[in-house]
Amino acid sequence: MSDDVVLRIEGLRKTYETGRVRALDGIDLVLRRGEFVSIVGPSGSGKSTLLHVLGALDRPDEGSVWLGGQDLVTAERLDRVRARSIGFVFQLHNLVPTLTAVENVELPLYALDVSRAERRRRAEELLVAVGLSERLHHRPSQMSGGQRQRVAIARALVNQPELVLADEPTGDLDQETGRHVLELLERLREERGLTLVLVTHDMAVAERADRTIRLIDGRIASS
Amino acid sequence: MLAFRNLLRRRIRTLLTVTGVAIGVSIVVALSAIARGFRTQVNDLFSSGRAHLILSRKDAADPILSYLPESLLGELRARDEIAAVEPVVLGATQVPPLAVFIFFGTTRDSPFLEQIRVVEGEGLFATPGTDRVCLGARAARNLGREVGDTLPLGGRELTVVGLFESATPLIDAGALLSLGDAQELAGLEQKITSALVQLRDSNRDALVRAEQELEADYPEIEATPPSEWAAAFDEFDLAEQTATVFTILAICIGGISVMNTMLMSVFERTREIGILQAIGWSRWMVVRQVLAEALLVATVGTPLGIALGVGIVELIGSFQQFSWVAGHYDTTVFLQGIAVGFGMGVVGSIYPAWRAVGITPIEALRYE
Ligand SMILES: Nc1ncnc2c1ncn2[C@@H]1O[C@H](COP(=O)(O)OP(=O)(O)O)[C@@H](O)[C@H]1O
Ligand SMILES: [Mg+2]
Repeated sequence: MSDDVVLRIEGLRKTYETGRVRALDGIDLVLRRGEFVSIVGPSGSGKSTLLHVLGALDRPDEGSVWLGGQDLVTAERLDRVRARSIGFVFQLHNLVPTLTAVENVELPLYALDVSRAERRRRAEELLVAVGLSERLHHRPSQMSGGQRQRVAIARALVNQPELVLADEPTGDLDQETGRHVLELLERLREERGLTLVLVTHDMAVAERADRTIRLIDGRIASS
Repeated sequence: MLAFRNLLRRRIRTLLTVTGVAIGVSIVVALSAIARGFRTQVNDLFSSGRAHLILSRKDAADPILSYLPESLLGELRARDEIAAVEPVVLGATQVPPLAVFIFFGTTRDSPFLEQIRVVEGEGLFATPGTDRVCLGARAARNLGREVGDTLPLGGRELTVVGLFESATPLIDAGALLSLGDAQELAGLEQKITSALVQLRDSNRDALVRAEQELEADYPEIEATPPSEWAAAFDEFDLAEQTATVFTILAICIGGISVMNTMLMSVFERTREIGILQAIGWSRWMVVRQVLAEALLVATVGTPLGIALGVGIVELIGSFQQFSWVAGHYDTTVFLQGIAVGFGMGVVGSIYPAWRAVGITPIEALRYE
């Protein structure tokens, strides 16, 4: 495995409802460091399932998943893998409503050995980077949808992950706002050399990636 | 921090849960303090006097049911190790408006008299005669009697000849009678309820020896040092056991109330908990959140409950009927309160924590 491979997947299968639903049906995929890959496909084609396996949220039924040097199929503590190596951005409503922006961004660092001061410093630095320096102490309810997704992006990056995964991060936003959020994500990727996997149904967005993977019925139709 | 915010998010619910914890704690603290207070008072009854041993009936359930023959006194006085023996008749009767009124039948030379201080009128034995009664300050207040008034007691009219004060509320809320009057009132002719024994030699060894010898010679007798007198009667253990039972009950009932709150809190945050796990939080961190929330409730509810419990005891003691009630607050009482408060927190968070851990991020993310 060459050094710049972040993730390698082979023969990945995942079924639900005791085999009746084949969410993923034989996926092979290699991600290189700094790559921006988009995943498109109709609803129910397995995009989220694939992202969950990439992100150590779920284990496959068959196949192998290597992240960095680590085998995710047999790894005992997936939560440690997520804490150290993964940054997730989900659709809307993925912030903790009782916490302020900066507190939300700090959350992943509680799972790591990071001092209180360092937590705050990193969270603020990232909120500034996503253009929310004025909103550090606002709660999600006091922010617009676009601002909330920026907070979510800051939170996904705060642990300096090897892999950033975004599952339709603009799905609940209007086009204009959605575009701004994606532009931000792209800019951060370039500035920070992130490896980014983005699930989207917006073809215009998908095409800005280095590579687009099209899923149909749990298989890669083209890439 | 998260726990704190969650509690603030549902203020009313939090308030109700804190109240539930506080009430549970207060009941246990009040019961325990009263039970211990009663025991302490019974131990104090004859402690500050010259008595070295108290003799009571071995299997008596209560000090007023401890009947001994008066003839015993003569036999005891004849014993070498004994310097003096004074009889006591302890009785309880009704004096409207009081449902329970305690009287102490005593002799002129009884060490028991050292427990009281005459503050008005004269002492019981200052003038010879029968049908004389001295009232404790609380008793006089509760019954609205002054020196010179009469007091109907067991079909007789007694004259209040003096008022006294005692540091022991049980005495202060009662009456002092001559032994003969008390025996008649209690229906105990030729009987006494206990005997106060003064030994010639009162060192530790002599005391233990006298205790053993007396019990050996009189199998129906139990001899106890005054400060441990309550231990001779099972009912004081029973009162404290009752407090223990209530402690367990309170933990269960309060635990269910805390559990209910925590469960609601966990369920309504299913997605949030899933997200936390998705961004790297371990199960243990999730469990800790739930525990922290419950313990925060306990931390606020417990001191409130202890304060409330003390308030309840004071309130009860302020009623005429219960003016002899005095809470005894030792570490055990407070530890019991703390155990109840935090017991509720822990018992109440086990199941919710287990449910929270059962939330998998994948399911939570699909959950809207
Ligand atoms: N937890 C689950 N239980 C049952 N079926 C599931 C579960 N997750 C996904 N599926 C099914 O797997 C298929 C792929 O789902 P998903 O990966 O969410 O697709 P997409 O994100 O492309 O819309 C769908 O048919 C979906 O219904
Ligand atoms: Mg999806």
